[in-house]
Amino acid sequence: MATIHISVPAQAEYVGLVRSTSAHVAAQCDLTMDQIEDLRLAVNEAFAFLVDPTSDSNIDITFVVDGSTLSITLKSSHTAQEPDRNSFGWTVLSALVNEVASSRNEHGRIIIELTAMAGVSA
Amino acid sequence: MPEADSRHHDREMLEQLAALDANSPEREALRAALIERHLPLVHFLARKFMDRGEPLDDLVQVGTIGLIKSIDRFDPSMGFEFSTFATPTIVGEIKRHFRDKTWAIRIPRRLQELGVQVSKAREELTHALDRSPTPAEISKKLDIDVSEVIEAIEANSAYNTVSIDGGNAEDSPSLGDTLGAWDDALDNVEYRESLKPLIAAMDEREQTILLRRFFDNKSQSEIAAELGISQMHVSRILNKTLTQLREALSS
Repeated sequence: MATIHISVPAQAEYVGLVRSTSAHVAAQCDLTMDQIEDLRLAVNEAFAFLVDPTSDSNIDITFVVDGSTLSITLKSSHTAQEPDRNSFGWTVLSALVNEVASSRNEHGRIIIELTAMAGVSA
Repeated sequence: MPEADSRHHDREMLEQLAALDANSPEREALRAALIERHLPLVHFLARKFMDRGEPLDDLVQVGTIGLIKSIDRFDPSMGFEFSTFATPTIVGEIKRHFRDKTWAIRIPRRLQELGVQVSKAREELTHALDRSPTPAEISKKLDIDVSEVIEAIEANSAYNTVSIDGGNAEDSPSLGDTLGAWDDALDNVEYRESLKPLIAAMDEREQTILLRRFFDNKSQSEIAAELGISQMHVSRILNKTLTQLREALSS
């Protein structure tokens, strides 16, 4: 099992860095090219939910590679809105990865968790 | 000036121009007048390529290069209308601009070439394995590092997608006509009403790809095969359309 943490400002221009890191990490766990492309789009959408141009806070991203499963957790460090399950972004997100969940933790931070599994199509 | 007279005047000017010696002092003024007279044609054609990610001014500028080339090459003795002759040249310059200039970020040649190789290997392996390959499988086939395969994906997606051969907003069928089948799937989407006009404004191919991917749940490779384009192309279009939708919905 490998764990990677990155933390980037909650600004739209950092989405490329997160997307790129996701693709490189995904290559460690036998995901197919199609899944990696989907994952990159999914990370884009998830990051977009947490972006806050008015704040100077960070988004913490944790990648966990466990065998053929990759989990990506994005945590906003400000009190963002919880993603709307009926929004287009969420519909897209759900279609792109095997599992997606969002919650608010005890500190009021929004957490979005994406899971992609090798050999299982989304 | 009535249109027929105007066309006649054009013809006279073009005949004069063709008759003049290349170094003749009158030539410059006549050529400039002809360019000026036909700028509306360039504007008309450039507007057909709007909303594809390039500023209209740039399109008019490259279109004007096409116009100048047409004026210089036009041979009145061939008996064509000038506009018939110039249109393909102007459109050709605009399309060339899209081909050459639309890498959003300048990608080093090495990476562009790597991208082409990876793309090709990916398609071959997809065919051979009957599923999308993993980066490890591609790296083995090309004898390159796995991280280079990922770099190639990254470089490819920096390409700013424009679909040259797609329709434009005016020509495309309205999505109202095509969306019926997906209404059930869309029912739960709160943004449906605001989404509809945005999707309707996309060209037909973008609409098809978006709906196949998210409402028919087809993979990128399946969509690529269905439309007879590369998976990389599908990926770029998805990237672009999702970004557009996200930006439009959040604004």
